[in-house]
Amino acid sequence: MSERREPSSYRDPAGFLFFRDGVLLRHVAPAGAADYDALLSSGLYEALALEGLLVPHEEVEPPEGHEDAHRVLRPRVIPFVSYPYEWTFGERRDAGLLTLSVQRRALERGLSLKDASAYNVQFLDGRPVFIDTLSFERYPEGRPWVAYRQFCEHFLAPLALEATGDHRLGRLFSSFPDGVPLDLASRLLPFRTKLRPGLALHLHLHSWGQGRYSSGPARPSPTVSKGRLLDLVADLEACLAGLRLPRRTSTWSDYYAGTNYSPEALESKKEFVRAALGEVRPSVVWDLGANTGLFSRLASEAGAFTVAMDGDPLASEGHYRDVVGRGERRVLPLVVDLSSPSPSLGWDGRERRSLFERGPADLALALALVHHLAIGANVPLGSIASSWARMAEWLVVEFVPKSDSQVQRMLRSREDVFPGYTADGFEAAFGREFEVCRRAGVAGSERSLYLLRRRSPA
Amino acid sequence: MARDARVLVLLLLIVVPRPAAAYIDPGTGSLVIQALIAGLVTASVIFRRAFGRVFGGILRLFGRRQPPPPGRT
Repeated sequence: MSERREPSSYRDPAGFLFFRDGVLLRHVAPAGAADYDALLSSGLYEALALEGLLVPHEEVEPPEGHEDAHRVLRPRVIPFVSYPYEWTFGERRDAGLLTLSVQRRALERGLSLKDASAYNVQFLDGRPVFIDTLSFERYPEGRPWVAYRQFCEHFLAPLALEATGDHRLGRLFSSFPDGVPLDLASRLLPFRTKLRPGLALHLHLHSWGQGRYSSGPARPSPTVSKGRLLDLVADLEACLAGLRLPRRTSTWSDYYAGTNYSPEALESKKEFVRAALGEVRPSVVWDLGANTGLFSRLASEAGAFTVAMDGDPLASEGHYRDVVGRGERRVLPLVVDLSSPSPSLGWDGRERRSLFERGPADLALALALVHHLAIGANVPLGSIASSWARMAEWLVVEFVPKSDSQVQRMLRSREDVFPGYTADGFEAAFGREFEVCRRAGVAGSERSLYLLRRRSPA
Repeated sequence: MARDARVLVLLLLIVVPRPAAAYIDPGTGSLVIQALIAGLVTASVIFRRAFGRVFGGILRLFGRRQPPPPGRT
């Protein structure tokens, strides 16, 4: 028997998550008993779970050592835990809209969310789902929404910065993993946002009020009726729904439309990837440098749950919109800079797990990526190989030689300090970590594709 | 403007000696300003509804028919 507590589950006295023999369970403490019972007796749990807004759970017998628990729950498992600083703009907005939908339904049944953390949302079957069953409390009529500030810091502030400032500002969330402070957001937002009623109220006035009324003598809590809270939630929904990324393209968001790939080369790559997927039959695939998801789709069609990572927020956002549009349930696009994969963050350096700690995958796809790390970021080939060997047992990797026009472009304005960047150098470096199972040239180009298998367990 | 806002806040607050207990810090300033923001949002909802009625009434007065509600032909 083994048991360990989930490191991120320590804030709320109502309960905590733990793993027992690898199974995720939630301990509902006596302090959370009355609110948990109200969640069930009000019919809110059933309604939210039926609509797919809240992760479903089943109640289980309290295991040894948890006899003091009011209940022990076994929630449905999320296949890959992602964090808000890895989400695309659309994912963040949908997660915020989900939180508001949950709050509206809770208020209608006499409950309220006591927190509105973006970490309470995960993606399951292609859509956001609320995962914290203990975030609900009985709502005393007249009390303001205690999570209003947290909602604005976790959702509205980063979204407004991305939509009206710069799409790269979503990355600010990793510097402020507990939400972007409102005074900072208010200072960074363009002046014109003061003329947009939603942003003027919920960010600028909110930030001003926070500074104005946070000091001084203790104040009694103001009264806000339920009707006004429902109006507030509806206004936040309209504000979020009205935020859009400006129409803009980046280097990568138009990659397949504007690259030198011939249809023949693309088809030959697809064939190789399809064959590799058929041979390995992976359950979980990580598509590294997924761009807009051309190859993630192949992995999904082969039945694998696919985490599609790309460092370009616009490419990943385009991929997310495509996933939503097709009703795709097995692909999760994320914004991850692969030259600096998500580190572990938060309290004790363990609250939010690093990308490596959330693996390994069965198979990783690394197509047209090696040259960006080896030449674009000066990472030695051997180091790329050992890093990817920690990410997956199987690897489909494409080697792009120096003679390729893409690499030539990268070397145009800099000294070539990469004498070892050759097909032989690549095979020697990767051969130390992996064995070559298959190799093929990409038709109509000098590129090569490899199916590799890790030599030893990670 | 700051004074107006203070008066509005005072008008909107019905002082009840009950702390908004929460396991996260809701922020004292945030709670106070939330009362004002929620009041302004509700006021704008009421205004828009009233404006819609008045505007609809003017249209009717000048013989412009409102489109029939969905489902009726």
